[in-house]
Amino acid sequence: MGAAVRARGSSGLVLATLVLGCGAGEGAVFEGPGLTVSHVYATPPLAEGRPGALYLFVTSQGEADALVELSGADLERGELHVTGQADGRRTMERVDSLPIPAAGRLELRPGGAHGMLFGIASRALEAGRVSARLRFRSGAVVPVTARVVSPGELEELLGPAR
Amino acid sequence: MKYRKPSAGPDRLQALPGIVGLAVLLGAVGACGPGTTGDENVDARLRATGYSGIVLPEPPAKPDFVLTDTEGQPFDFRRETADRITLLFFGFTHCPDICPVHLANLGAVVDRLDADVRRRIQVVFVSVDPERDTPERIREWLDVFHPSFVGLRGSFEEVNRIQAAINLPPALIDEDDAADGQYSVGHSAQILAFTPDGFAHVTYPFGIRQQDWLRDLPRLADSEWARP
Repeated sequence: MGAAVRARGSSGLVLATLVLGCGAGEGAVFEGPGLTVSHVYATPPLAEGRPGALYLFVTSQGEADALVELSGADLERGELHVTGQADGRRTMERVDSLPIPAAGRLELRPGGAHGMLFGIASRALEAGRVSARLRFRSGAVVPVTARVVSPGELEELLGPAR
Repeated sequence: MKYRKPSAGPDRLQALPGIVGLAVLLGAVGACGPGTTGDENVDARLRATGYSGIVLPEPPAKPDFVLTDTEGQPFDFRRETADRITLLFFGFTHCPDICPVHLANLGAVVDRLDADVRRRIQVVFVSVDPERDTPERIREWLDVFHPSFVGLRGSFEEVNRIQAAINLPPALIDEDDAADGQYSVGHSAQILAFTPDGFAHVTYPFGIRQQDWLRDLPRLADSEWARP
């Protein structure tokens, strides 16, 4: 599968065209103590000054845990958000943590929990890779690298949205 | 998180039965058996109606409004889309999750449709965030999905009146974050498909996939609803 992604940096001047090829389930896996992070994808800002989004799966091999912080050298800042539904509307709320069940999986995917990426560095967008750092309640810190993809690729990469 | 509530004017009150009805309908399609498309909700709807989207028992009439397009020109919605299958979506360009995925999935299929179907499809995006969504930003953002998508802008109150007229809940601005300009806007995630008969018989919730659009759009174009 190939797709053209137009990624814009916060300056609005950076325009990178990336040809990406990646099927469902592919991609790097990042290991932390008792944790595995996979399916790590970022969508770029689609207009000047807009945020990007981060999607990934975290699997715990043992104890329950929680994702409590998203940061990284490629970002001005990262936030954890949850898209919910109430009274016929989709709403988005910033949260302090995203729980990971014991021996279970936390899924950040469209329409649910996701990371918000503010001020992604132009160099990262040009390279098609965004480095981020995930900190967990257990104290584990897992560096990850997200492949930059277009929003239209996500359903194939992550499965149906929520 | 507190969302700013618009004044409870007559339009909003009139919309409530429709909103409740749509919510009940959306909840009712949750239970279904093993599927063939990979989405059991879609499978149930296909078995019941032949459409991947949700067929509305009381289809709303095409709203009559004029908003400003991304060229700064007035766009008469009924007149400009009279003979088209018009896919109407309300959202905002700061939306990082729902809006880009919904529109990108639609944009990804437009050029895969047969030419005779494609020329009858018109996607219209209406911003629920006129404070931050300038015409230039809307155009820049929509062009990522497909250059044929029309972008419209009006006052927050005017856009909410339009949504109320078609049984969609009004958008709400998150007051907690409004001060730093990074606020979110709660809004409907439905894409309503208005056909040339002047009604939206089918609506598409968030989560509808590219294969669902590819299945439904030719059917809509070939339906009796597509005859004015």
